[in-house]
Amino acid sequence: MALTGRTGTCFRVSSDDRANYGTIVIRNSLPPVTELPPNALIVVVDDDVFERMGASDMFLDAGYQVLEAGNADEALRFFETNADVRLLFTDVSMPGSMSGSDLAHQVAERWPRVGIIIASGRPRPCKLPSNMLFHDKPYEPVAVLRQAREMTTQLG
Amino acid sequence: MLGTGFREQFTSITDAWALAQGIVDTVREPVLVLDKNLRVIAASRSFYSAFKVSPEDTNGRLLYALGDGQWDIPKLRVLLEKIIPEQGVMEGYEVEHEFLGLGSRTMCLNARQVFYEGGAGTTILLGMEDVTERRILEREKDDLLRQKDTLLEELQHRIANSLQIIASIILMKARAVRSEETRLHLEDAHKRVLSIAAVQKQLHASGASGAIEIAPYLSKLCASLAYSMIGDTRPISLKVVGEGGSATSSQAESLGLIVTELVMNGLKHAFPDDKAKGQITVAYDVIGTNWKLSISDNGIGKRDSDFAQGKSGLGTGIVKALAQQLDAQVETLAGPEGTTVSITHATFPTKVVQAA
Repeated sequence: MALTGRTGTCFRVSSDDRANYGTIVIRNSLPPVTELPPNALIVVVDDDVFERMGASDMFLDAGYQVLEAGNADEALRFFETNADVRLLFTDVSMPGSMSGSDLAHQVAERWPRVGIIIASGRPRPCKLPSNMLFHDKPYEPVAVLRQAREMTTQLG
Repeated sequence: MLGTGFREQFTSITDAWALAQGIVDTVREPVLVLDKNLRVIAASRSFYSAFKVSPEDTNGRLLYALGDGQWDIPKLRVLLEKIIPEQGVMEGYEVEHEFLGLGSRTMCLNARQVFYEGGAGTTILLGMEDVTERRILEREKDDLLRQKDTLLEELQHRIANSLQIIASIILMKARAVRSEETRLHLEDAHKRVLSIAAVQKQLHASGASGAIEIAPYLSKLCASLAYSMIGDTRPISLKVVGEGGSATSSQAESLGLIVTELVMNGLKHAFPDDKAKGQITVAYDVIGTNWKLSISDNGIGKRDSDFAQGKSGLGTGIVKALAQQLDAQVETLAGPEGTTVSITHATFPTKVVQAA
Protein backbone atom coordinates (compact mmCIF):
# COMPACT_ATOMS: atom_id res chain seq x y z
CA MET A 1 0.00 0.00 0.00
CA ALA A 2 1.74 3.17 -1.07
CA LEU A 3 0.81 6.73 -1.77
CA THR A 4 3.78 8.43 -3.27
CA GLY A 5 4.90 11.20 -5.52
CA ARG A 6 3.55 14.66 -5.68
CA THR A 7 1.26 14.39 -2.70
CA GLY A 8 4.25 14.25 -0.36
CA THR A 9 2.29 11.74 1.69
CA CYS A 10 3.52 8.22 2.01
CA PHE A 11 2.61 4.98 3.66
CA ARG A 12 5.25 3.20 5.64
CA VAL A 13 4.91 -0.31 6.90
CA SER A 14 6.05 -0.80 10.45
CA SER A 15 5.96 -3.79 12.72
CA ASP A 16 3.14 -4.41 15.16
CA ASP A 17 1.58 -7.56 16.48
CA ARG A 18 -1.53 -6.82 14.44
CA ALA A 19 -1.96 -6.41 10.73
CA ASN A 20 -0.76 -2.98 9.80
CA TYR A 21 -2.88 -1.11 7.36
CA GLY A 22 -0.31 1.51 6.59
CA THR A 23 1.29 4.52 8.13
CA ILE A 24 0.78 7.95 6.74
CA VAL A 25 3.43 10.55 7.37
CA ILE A 26 2.01 14.02 7.47
CA ARG A 27 4.45 16.80 6.78
CA ASN A 28 4.46 20.27 5.47
CA SER A 29 5.55 19.93 1.91
CA LEU A 30 4.23 23.16 0.48
CA PRO A 31 7.05 24.88 -1.37
CA PRO A 32 7.55 28.48 -0.18
CA VAL A 33 5.20 30.97 -1.76
CA THR A 34 8.07 32.77 -3.49
CA GLU A 35 8.39 29.87 -5.92
CA LEU A 36 5.12 30.83 -7.53
CA PRO A 37 5.80 32.81 -10.71
CA PRO A 38 4.45 36.33 -10.27
CA ASN A 39 0.87 36.79 -11.47
CA ALA A 40 0.43 33.23 -12.65
CA LEU A 41 -2.86 33.19 -14.53
CA ILE A 42 -5.45 30.47 -13.95
CA VAL A 43 -8.84 29.84 -15.59
CA VAL A 44 -11.45 28.56 -13.11
CA VAL A 45 -14.50 26.89 -14.70
CA ASP A 46 -17.66 25.86 -12.83
CA ASP A 47 -21.33 26.43 -13.59
CA ASP A 48 -22.17 26.67 -9.89
CA VAL A 49 -21.66 30.22 -8.64
CA PHE A 50 -20.65 29.26 -5.10
CA GLU A 51 -18.26 26.57 -6.18
CA ARG A 52 -16.68 28.93 -8.72
CA MET A 53 -16.36 31.76 -6.17
CA GLY A 54 -14.88 29.37 -3.61
CA ALA A 55 -12.29 28.11 -6.07
CA SER A 56 -11.44 31.65 -7.24
CA ASP A 57 -10.96 32.83 -3.67
CA MET A 58 -8.72 29.88 -2.98
CA PHE A 59 -6.46 30.63 -5.95
CA LEU A 60 -6.51 34.41 -5.38
CA ASP A 61 -5.38 33.89 -1.79
CA ALA A 62 -2.56 31.70 -3.03
CA GLY A 63 -1.31 34.51 -5.25
CA TYR A 64 -2.79 33.62 -8.63
CA GLN A 65 -4.62 35.85 -11.04
CA VAL A 66 -7.97 34.28 -11.80
CA LEU A 67 -10.24 34.31 -14.84
CA GLU A 68 -13.69 32.91 -14.04
CA ALA A 69 -15.84 31.05 -16.57
CA GLY A 70 -19.32 29.57 -16.12
CA ASN A 71 -19.00 27.10 -18.97
CA ALA A 72 -16.46 25.49 -21.27
CA ASP A 73 -17.04 27.81 -24.27
CA GLU A 74 -16.38 30.88 -22.15
CA ALA A 75 -13.25 29.25 -20.79
CA LEU A 76 -11.98 28.46 -24.27
CA ARG A 77 -12.32 32.11 -25.26
CA PHE A 78 -10.07 33.05 -22.33
CA PHE A 79 -7.42 30.67 -23.61
CA GLU A 80 -7.72 32.07 -27.13
CA THR A 81 -7.24 35.65 -25.97
CA ASN A 82 -4.66 35.16 -23.19
CA ALA A 83 -1.44 33.54 -24.26
CA ASP A 84 -0.09 33.43 -20.72
CA VAL A 85 -2.68 31.25 -18.96
CA ARG A 86 -0.75 28.66 -16.93
CA LEU A 87 -3.47 26.55 -15.35
CA LEU A 88 -6.98 25.25 -15.91
CA PHE A 89 -9.14 24.25 -12.94
CA THR A 90 -12.42 22.84 -14.18
CA ASP A 91 -15.63 21.07 -13.18
CA VAL A 92 -16.80 18.20 -15.43
CA SER A 93 -20.62 18.30 -15.73
CA MET A 94 -21.63 21.66 -17.10
CA PRO A 95 -24.29 22.96 -19.47
CA GLY A 96 -23.17 24.14 -22.89
CA SER A 97 -21.70 22.57 -25.99
CA MET A 98 -18.73 21.03 -24.14
CA SER A 99 -18.24 19.21 -20.87
CA GLY A 100 -15.34 19.97 -18.59
CA SER A 101 -13.47 16.91 -19.80
CA ASP A 102 -13.98 17.91 -23.46
CA LEU A 103 -12.56 21.29 -22.52
CA ALA A 104 -9.61 19.70 -20.74
CA HIS A 105 -8.79 17.55 -23.76
CA GLN A 106 -8.97 20.52 -26.12
CA VAL A 107 -6.78 22.65 -23.91
CA ALA A 108 -4.27 19.79 -23.55
CA GLU A 109 -4.06 19.53 -27.32
CA ARG A 110 -3.97 23.21 -28.23
CA TRP A 111 -1.99 24.55 -25.27
CA PRO A 112 0.18 21.66 -24.09
CA ARG A 113 2.04 23.82 -21.56
CA VAL A 114 -1.10 24.53 -19.52
CA GLY A 115 -1.46 22.49 -16.31
CA ILE A 116 -4.89 20.90 -15.93
CA ILE A 117 -6.74 20.01 -12.72
CA ILE A 118 -10.23 18.51 -12.89
CA ALA A 119 -12.60 18.42 -9.91
CA SER A 120 -15.86 16.53 -9.99
CA GLY A 121 -18.53 14.95 -7.83
CA ARG A 122 -18.69 12.10 -10.34
CA PRO A 123 -16.30 9.18 -10.27
CA ARG A 124 -12.87 9.69 -11.70
CA PRO A 125 -12.89 8.95 -15.46
CA CYS A 126 -11.08 5.73 -16.33
CA LYS A 127 -9.06 7.24 -19.12
CA LEU A 128 -7.39 10.39 -17.94
CA PRO A 129 -4.30 11.66 -19.77
CA SER A 130 -1.21 11.60 -17.58
CA ASN A 131 -0.83 15.37 -17.68
CA MET A 132 -4.23 15.94 -16.03
CA LEU A 133 -4.95 15.64 -12.33
CA PHE A 134 -8.27 14.70 -10.83
CA HIS A 135 -9.83 15.63 -7.50
CA ASP A 136 -13.07 14.37 -6.04
CA LYS A 137 -15.48 17.03 -4.85
CA PRO A 138 -15.44 18.24 -2.19
CA TYR A 139 -11.74 18.70 -2.77
CA GLU A 140 -9.12 19.47 -0.16
CA PRO A 141 -7.91 23.02 -0.92
CA VAL A 142 -4.40 22.39 0.40
CA ALA A 143 -3.95 19.38 -1.85
CA VAL A 144 -5.27 21.21 -4.90
CA LEU A 145 -3.08 24.26 -4.24
CA ARG A 146 0.01 22.15 -3.79
CA GLN A 147 -0.53 20.40 -7.10
CA ALA A 148 -1.33 23.68 -8.80
CA ARG A 149 1.91 25.12 -7.51
CA GLU A 150 3.92 22.12 -8.61
CA MET A 151 2.42 22.36 -12.06
CA THR A 152 3.04 26.08 -12.35
CA THR A 153 6.67 25.78 -11.34
CA GLN A 154 7.30 22.61 -13.38
CA LEU A 155 5.76 23.98 -16.52
CA GLY A 156 7.93 27.08 -16.09
CA MET B 1 -39.71 -43.50 -18.98
CA LEU B 2 -42.89 -45.29 -18.01
CA GLY B 3 -42.66 -48.23 -15.60
CA THR B 4 -43.59 -51.82 -16.40
CA GLY B 5 -46.85 -51.37 -14.46
CA PHE B 6 -47.87 -48.96 -17.17
CA ARG B 7 -47.25 -51.55 -19.91
CA GLU B 8 -49.27 -54.15 -18.02
CA GLN B 9 -52.22 -51.88 -17.46
CA PHE B 10 -52.42 -50.64 -21.04
CA THR B 11 -52.08 -53.80 -23.09
CA SER B 12 -54.97 -52.72 -25.25
CA ILE B 13 -54.02 -50.20 -27.92
CA THR B 14 -57.37 -48.45 -27.51
CA ASP B 15 -56.65 -47.86 -23.81
CA ALA B 16 -53.19 -46.56 -24.57
CA TRP B 17 -54.62 -44.23 -27.20
CA ALA B 18 -57.23 -42.93 -24.74
CA LEU B 19 -54.48 -42.27 -22.23
CA ALA B 20 -52.32 -40.47 -24.79
CA GLN B 21 -55.24 -38.27 -25.86
CA GLY B 22 -56.03 -37.63 -22.20
CA ILE B 23 -52.47 -36.48 -21.51
CA VAL B 24 -52.40 -34.21 -24.54
CA ASP B 25 -55.71 -32.62 -23.50
CA THR B 26 -54.70 -32.20 -19.87
CA VAL B 27 -51.43 -30.28 -20.22
CA ARG B 28 -51.88 -26.55 -19.81
CA GLU B 29 -49.33 -25.56 -22.43
CA PRO B 30 -50.23 -26.11 -26.09
CA VAL B 31 -48.95 -29.45 -27.42
CA LEU B 32 -48.91 -30.87 -30.95
CA VAL B 33 -48.35 -34.50 -31.92
CA LEU B 34 -46.91 -34.69 -35.45
CA ASP B 35 -46.18 -37.61 -37.72
CA LYS B 36 -42.86 -37.93 -39.48
CA ASN B 37 -44.10 -35.76 -42.37
CA LEU B 38 -45.07 -33.05 -39.86
CA ARG B 39 -48.79 -33.62 -40.21
CA VAL B 40 -50.85 -33.01 -37.08
CA ILE B 41 -52.00 -36.28 -35.48
CA ALA B 42 -53.38 -34.64 -32.37
CA ALA B 43 -53.44 -31.24 -30.69
CA SER B 44 -54.15 -30.33 -27.09
CA ARG B 45 -57.22 -28.33 -26.15
CA SER B 46 -54.92 -25.60 -24.98
CA PHE B 47 -53.49 -25.38 -28.51
CA TYR B 48 -56.93 -24.74 -29.99
CA SER B 49 -57.78 -22.10 -27.44
CA ALA B 50 -54.40 -20.36 -27.46
CA PHE B 51 -54.27 -20.02 -31.25
CA LYS B 52 -58.05 -19.73 -31.74
CA VAL B 53 -58.31 -22.61 -34.21
CA SER B 54 -60.74 -25.54 -34.52
CA PRO B 55 -59.84 -29.27 -34.50
CA GLU B 56 -61.25 -29.53 -38.01
CA ASP B 57 -58.79 -26.97 -39.37
CA THR B 58 -55.93 -28.64 -37.54
CA ASN B 59 -56.02 -32.42 -37.48
CA GLY B 60 -54.49 -34.20 -40.44
CA ARG B 61 -53.05 -31.00 -41.85
CA LEU B 62 -49.44 -30.13 -42.45
CA LEU B 63 -48.00 -28.01 -39.60
CA TYR B 64 -46.67 -25.38 -42.00
CA ALA B 65 -50.11 -25.01 -43.60
CA LEU B 66 -51.94 -24.37 -40.33
CA GLY B 67 -53.58 -20.97 -39.82
CA ASP B 68 -52.76 -19.62 -43.30
CA GLY B 69 -49.17 -20.73 -43.01
CA GLN B 70 -48.43 -18.85 -39.81
CA TRP B 71 -46.38 -21.80 -38.54
CA ASP B 72 -44.10 -21.71 -41.54
CA ILE B 73 -41.31 -20.12 -39.54
CA PRO B 74 -37.69 -20.51 -40.73
CA LYS B 75 -36.41 -21.10 -37.20
CA LEU B 76 -39.09 -23.75 -36.59
CA ARG B 77 -38.11 -25.50 -39.83
CA VAL B 78 -34.53 -25.66 -38.59
CA LEU B 79 -35.76 -27.23 -35.35
CA LEU B 80 -38.03 -29.84 -36.89
CA GLU B 81 -36.08 -30.68 -40.03
CA LYS B 82 -32.53 -30.49 -38.80
CA ILE B 83 -32.10 -30.46 -35.03
CA ILE B 84 -34.74 -33.08 -34.12
CA PRO B 85 -33.75 -35.68 -36.75
CA GLU B 86 -30.15 -35.32 -35.59
CA GLN B 87 -30.53 -35.00 -31.83
CA GLY B 88 -33.95 -36.46 -31.06
CA VAL B 89 -34.67 -33.90 -28.32
CA MET B 90 -34.59 -30.12 -28.00
CA GLU B 91 -35.65 -28.08 -25.00
CA GLY B 92 -36.06 -24.35 -24.42
CA TYR B 93 -35.79 -23.37 -28.10
CA GLU B 94 -37.05 -19.79 -28.45
CA VAL B 95 -38.88 -18.50 -31.52
CA GLU B 96 -40.16 -14.96 -31.98
CA HIS B 97 -42.97 -14.66 -34.48
CA GLU B 98 -46.00 -12.63 -35.50
CA PHE B 99 -49.06 -14.85 -34.90
CA LEU B 100 -52.48 -14.11 -36.40
CA GLY B 101 -54.65 -12.31 -33.89
CA LEU B 102 -52.01 -12.66 -31.18
CA GLY B 103 -49.39 -10.24 -32.37
CA SER B 104 -45.70 -10.72 -31.83
CA ARG B 105 -45.08 -13.56 -29.38
CA THR B 106 -42.02 -15.26 -28.02
CA MET B 107 -42.56 -19.03 -27.89
CA CYS B 108 -40.36 -21.35 -25.92
CA LEU B 109 -40.48 -24.78 -27.63
CA ASN B 110 -39.74 -28.29 -26.43
CA ALA B 111 -39.60 -31.00 -29.08
CA ARG B 112 -39.03 -34.72 -28.85
CA GLN B 113 -38.97 -37.52 -31.40
CA VAL B 114 -40.64 -40.78 -30.34
CA PHE B 115 -39.56 -44.10 -31.94
CA TYR B 116 -41.69 -47.22 -31.88
CA GLU B 117 -40.95 -50.92 -31.66
CA GLY B 118 -40.82 -52.48 -35.10
CA GLY B 119 -39.66 -49.17 -36.56
CA ALA B 120 -43.10 -48.19 -37.77
CA GLY B 121 -42.41 -44.50 -38.38
CA THR B 122 -41.81 -41.83 -35.74
CA THR B 123 -43.83 -39.20 -34.00
CA ILE B 124 -42.73 -35.73 -32.95
CA LEU B 125 -44.12 -34.12 -29.83
CA LEU B 126 -44.00 -30.34 -29.91
CA GLY B 127 -44.76 -28.42 -26.70
CA MET B 128 -44.88 -24.66 -26.64
CA GLU B 129 -44.96 -22.06 -23.92
CA ASP B 130 -45.78 -18.43 -24.54
CA VAL B 131 -42.98 -16.59 -22.69
CA THR B 132 -43.68 -13.17 -24.21
CA GLU B 133 -44.85 -11.58 -20.96
CA ARG B 134 -42.05 -13.17 -18.99
CA ARG B 135 -39.40 -11.87 -21.39
CA ILE B 136 -40.95 -8.40 -21.29
CA LEU B 137 -40.92 -8.46 -17.48
CA GLU B 138 -37.31 -9.60 -17.48
CA ARG B 139 -36.33 -6.78 -19.81
CA GLU B 140 -38.23 -4.29 -17.65
CA LYS B 141 -36.48 -5.59 -14.55
CA ASP B 142 -33.06 -5.20 -16.20
CA ASP B 143 -33.99 -1.68 -17.28
CA LEU B 144 -35.13 -0.83 -13.76
CA LEU B 145 -31.90 -2.17 -12.28
CA ARG B 146 -29.90 -0.06 -14.70
CA GLN B 147 -32.02 2.98 -13.88
CA LYS B 148 -31.47 2.36 -10.18
CA ASP B 149 -27.70 2.32 -10.69
CA THR B 150 -27.87 5.53 -12.69
CA LEU B 151 -30.01 7.16 -10.03
CA LEU B 152 -27.64 6.13 -7.25
CA GLU B 153 -24.71 7.49 -9.23
CA GLU B 154 -26.61 10.75 -9.80
CA LEU B 155 -27.52 10.99 -6.14
CA GLN B 156 -23.90 10.45 -5.13
CA HIS B 157 -22.88 13.18 -7.57
CA ARG B 158 -25.42 15.59 -6.10
CA ILE B 159 -24.33 14.85 -2.54
CA ALA B 160 -20.70 15.48 -3.50
CA ASN B 161 -21.61 18.74 -5.23
CA SER B 162 -23.77 19.92 -2.32
CA LEU B 163 -20.94 19.19 0.10
CA GLN B 164 -18.61 21.14 -2.19
CA ILE B 165 -20.95 24.12 -2.12
CA ILE B 166 -21.12 23.98 1.68
CA ALA B 167 -17.33 23.62 1.92
CA SER B 168 -16.81 26.57 -0.45
CA ILE B 169 -19.18 28.83 1.47
CA ILE B 170 -17.61 27.98 4.83
CA LEU B 171 -14.14 28.67 3.49
CA MET B 172 -15.18 31.95 1.92
CA LYS B 173 -16.65 32.98 5.28
CA ALA B 174 -13.43 31.92 7.00
CA ARG B 175 -11.47 34.24 4.74
CA ALA B 176 -13.87 37.11 5.27
CA VAL B 177 -14.05 37.15 9.09
CA ARG B 178 -11.68 39.28 11.15
CA SER B 179 -11.64 37.31 14.37
CA GLU B 180 -8.90 34.71 14.45
CA GLU B 181 -10.97 32.49 16.74
CA THR B 182 -13.97 32.53 14.42
CA ARG B 183 -11.72 31.80 11.48
CA LEU B 184 -10.31 28.72 13.24
CA HIS B 185 -13.81 27.51 14.06
CA LEU B 186 -14.88 27.92 10.45
CA GLU B 187 -11.82 26.07 9.23
CA ASP B 188 -12.68 23.32 11.66
CA ALA B 189 -16.20 23.15 10.28
CA HIS B 190 -14.71 22.94 6.79
CA LYS B 191 -12.58 19.98 7.84
CA ARG B 192 -15.63 18.22 9.25
CA VAL B 193 -17.47 18.67 5.97
CA LEU B 194 -14.50 17.16 4.15
CA SER B 195 -14.28 14.22 6.51
CA ILE B 196 -17.99 13.51 6.20
CA ALA B 197 -17.43 13.55 2.45
CA ALA B 198 -14.50 11.15 2.85
CA VAL B 199 -16.63 8.79 4.93
CA GLN B 200 -19.45 9.05 2.42
CA LYS B 201 -17.09 8.34 -0.47
CA GLN B 202 -15.58 5.30 1.21
CA LEU B 203 -19.02 3.92 1.96
CA HIS B 204 -20.23 4.51 -1.58
CA ALA B 205 -17.17 2.73 -2.96
CA SER B 206 -17.84 -0.27 -0.73
CA GLY B 207 -21.28 -0.70 -2.28
CA ALA B 208 -24.71 0.22 -0.98
CA SER B 209 -25.72 -2.77 1.07
CA GLY B 210 -22.78 -5.05 1.72
CA ALA B 211 -20.77 -5.38 4.89
CA ILE B 212 -17.78 -3.06 5.15
CA GLU B 213 -14.35 -4.36 6.12
CA ILE B 214 -13.34 -2.04 8.91
CA ALA B 215 -9.54 -1.90 8.82
CA PRO B 216 -9.07 -1.15 5.10
CA TYR B 217 -11.94 1.34 5.33
CA LEU B 218 -10.35 3.20 8.25
CA SER B 219 -6.94 3.25 6.61
CA LYS B 220 -8.34 4.83 3.45
CA LEU B 221 -10.25 7.30 5.56
CA CYS B 222 -7.08 8.21 7.45
CA ALA B 223 -5.23 8.68 4.18
CA SER B 224 -7.78 11.27 3.10
CA LEU B 225 -7.75 12.84 6.57
CA ALA B 226 -3.99 13.24 6.28
CA TYR B 227 -4.52 15.65 3.40
CA SER B 228 -6.52 18.06 5.49
CA MET B 229 -3.90 18.14 8.22
CA ILE B 230 -1.01 19.21 6.07
CA GLY B 231 0.48 22.41 7.34
CA ASP B 232 1.95 20.94 10.47
CA THR B 233 5.55 21.87 10.85
CA ARG B 234 6.86 18.43 11.76
CA PRO B 235 6.13 14.94 10.59
CA ILE B 236 3.47 13.08 12.48
CA SER B 237 2.80 9.50 11.52
CA LEU B 238 -0.71 8.13 11.42
CA LYS B 239 -0.95 4.37 11.65
CA VAL B 240 -3.92 2.07 11.24
CA VAL B 241 -3.78 -1.42 12.71
CA GLY B 242 -6.47 -4.02 13.06
CA GLU B 243 -7.53 -7.57 12.60
CA GLY B 244 -10.69 -8.40 10.67
CA GLY B 245 -14.09 -7.08 11.57
CA SER B 246 -16.85 -5.79 9.38
CA ALA B 247 -19.83 -3.53 9.95
CA THR B 248 -22.99 -2.27 8.33
CA SER B 249 -22.69 1.00 6.46
CA SER B 250 -24.38 3.00 9.22
CA GLN B 251 -22.07 1.55 11.88
CA ALA B 252 -19.08 2.20 9.62
CA GLU B 253 -20.24 5.76 9.20
CA SER B 254 -20.30 6.31 12.96
CA LEU B 255 -16.89 4.66 13.38
CA GLY B 256 -15.47 6.80 10.57
CA LEU B 257 -16.75 10.00 12.13
CA ILE B 258 -15.35 9.04 15.55
CA VAL B 259 -11.93 8.39 14.00
CA THR B 260 -12.13 11.71 12.17
CA GLU B 261 -12.88 13.66 15.34
CA LEU B 262 -10.23 11.97 17.47
CA VAL B 263 -7.47 12.07 14.86
CA MET B 264 -8.19 15.75 14.22
CA ASN B 265 -8.20 16.35 17.95
CA GLY B 266 -4.90 14.51 18.42
CA LEU B 267 -3.21 16.40 15.61
CA LYS B 268 -4.44 19.70 16.96
CA HIS B 269 -3.63 19.27 20.62
CA ALA B 270 -1.26 16.39 21.32
CA PHE B 271 1.91 17.80 19.82
CA PRO B 272 2.28 21.48 20.71
CA ASP B 273 6.07 21.40 20.92
CA ASP B 274 8.56 19.98 18.47
CA LYS B 275 8.45 16.56 19.96
CA ALA B 276 10.84 14.21 18.20
CA LYS B 277 8.40 11.78 16.67
CA GLY B 278 4.69 12.27 16.88
CA GLN B 279 2.60 9.23 16.24
CA ILE B 280 -1.12 8.55 16.21
CA THR B 281 -2.36 4.98 16.07
CA VAL B 282 -5.86 3.95 15.11
CA ALA B 283 -6.55 0.35 16.18
CA TYR B 284 -9.60 -1.79 15.65
CA ASP B 285 -9.88 -5.16 17.39
CA VAL B 286 -12.74 -7.56 17.33
CA ILE B 287 -13.61 -10.72 19.28
CA GLY B 288 -16.91 -12.30 18.31
CA THR B 289 -19.54 -9.59 18.54
CA ASN B 290 -17.33 -7.42 20.74
CA TRP B 291 -15.07 -4.78 19.34
CA LYS B 292 -12.79 -2.00 20.44
CA LEU B 293 -11.70 1.05 18.52
CA SER B 294 -8.86 3.01 20.00
CA ILE B 295 -7.08 6.13 18.91
CA SER B 296 -3.84 6.77 20.75
CA ASP B 297 -1.06 9.29 20.46
CA ASN B 298 2.36 9.69 22.07
CA GLY B 299 1.95 13.40 22.65
CA ILE B 300 1.39 15.41 25.80
CA GLY B 301 -1.24 13.59 27.77
CA LYS B 302 -2.77 16.62 29.42
CA ARG B 303 -5.56 17.90 27.28
CA ASP B 304 -7.62 14.80 27.47
CA SER B 305 -8.41 15.15 31.12
CA ASP B 306 -11.04 17.29 29.46
CA PHE B 307 -12.34 14.19 27.88
CA ALA B 308 -12.32 12.16 31.09
CA GLN B 309 -14.11 14.82 33.09
CA GLY B 310 -16.59 15.50 30.39
CA LYS B 311 -15.58 19.14 30.08
CA SER B 312 -16.92 19.05 26.69
CA GLY B 313 -15.65 20.55 23.56
CA LEU B 314 -17.78 19.97 20.54
CA GLY B 315 -15.54 17.07 19.48
CA THR B 316 -16.08 15.32 22.81
CA GLY B 317 -19.82 15.63 22.50
CA ILE B 318 -19.77 14.30 18.95
CA VAL B 319 -17.68 11.27 19.91
CA LYS B 320 -19.91 10.47 22.89
CA ALA B 321 -23.06 10.75 20.85
CA LEU B 322 -21.67 8.53 18.10
CA ALA B 323 -20.45 5.94 20.62
CA GLN B 324 -23.90 5.88 22.20
CA GLN B 325 -25.35 5.23 18.78
CA LEU B 326 -23.03 2.23 18.49
CA ASP B 327 -23.97 1.02 21.98
CA ALA B 328 -20.36 1.51 23.06
CA GLN B 329 -18.46 3.07 25.98
CA VAL B 330 -15.91 5.85 25.68
CA GLU B 331 -12.86 5.67 27.92
CA THR B 332 -9.93 8.04 28.00
CA LEU B 333 -6.50 7.34 29.43
CA ALA B 334 -4.14 10.27 29.58
CA GLY B 335 -0.62 10.14 30.97
CA PRO B 336 2.92 11.27 30.28
CA GLU B 337 3.13 8.69 27.50
CA GLY B 338 0.28 10.22 25.62
CA THR B 339 -3.45 9.75 25.33
CA THR B 340 -5.60 6.81 24.38
CA VAL B 341 -9.31 7.07 23.74
CA SER B 342 -11.07 3.72 23.50
CA ILE B 343 -14.55 3.07 22.21
CA THR B 344 -15.61 -0.38 23.40
CA HIS B 345 -18.67 -2.38 22.50
CA ALA B 346 -18.96 -5.42 24.76
CA THR B 347 -21.85 -7.75 25.32
CA PHE B 348 -21.80 -10.65 27.74
CA PRO B 349 -23.87 -13.64 26.74
CA THR B 350 -26.21 -14.78 29.52
CA LYS B 351 -25.06 -18.07 31.00
CA VAL B 352 -27.62 -20.82 30.74
CA VAL B 353 -28.04 -22.37 34.16
CA GLN B 354 -28.44 -26.05 33.75
CA ALA B 355 -30.86 -27.88 36.00
CA ALA B 356 -29.02 -30.43 38.12
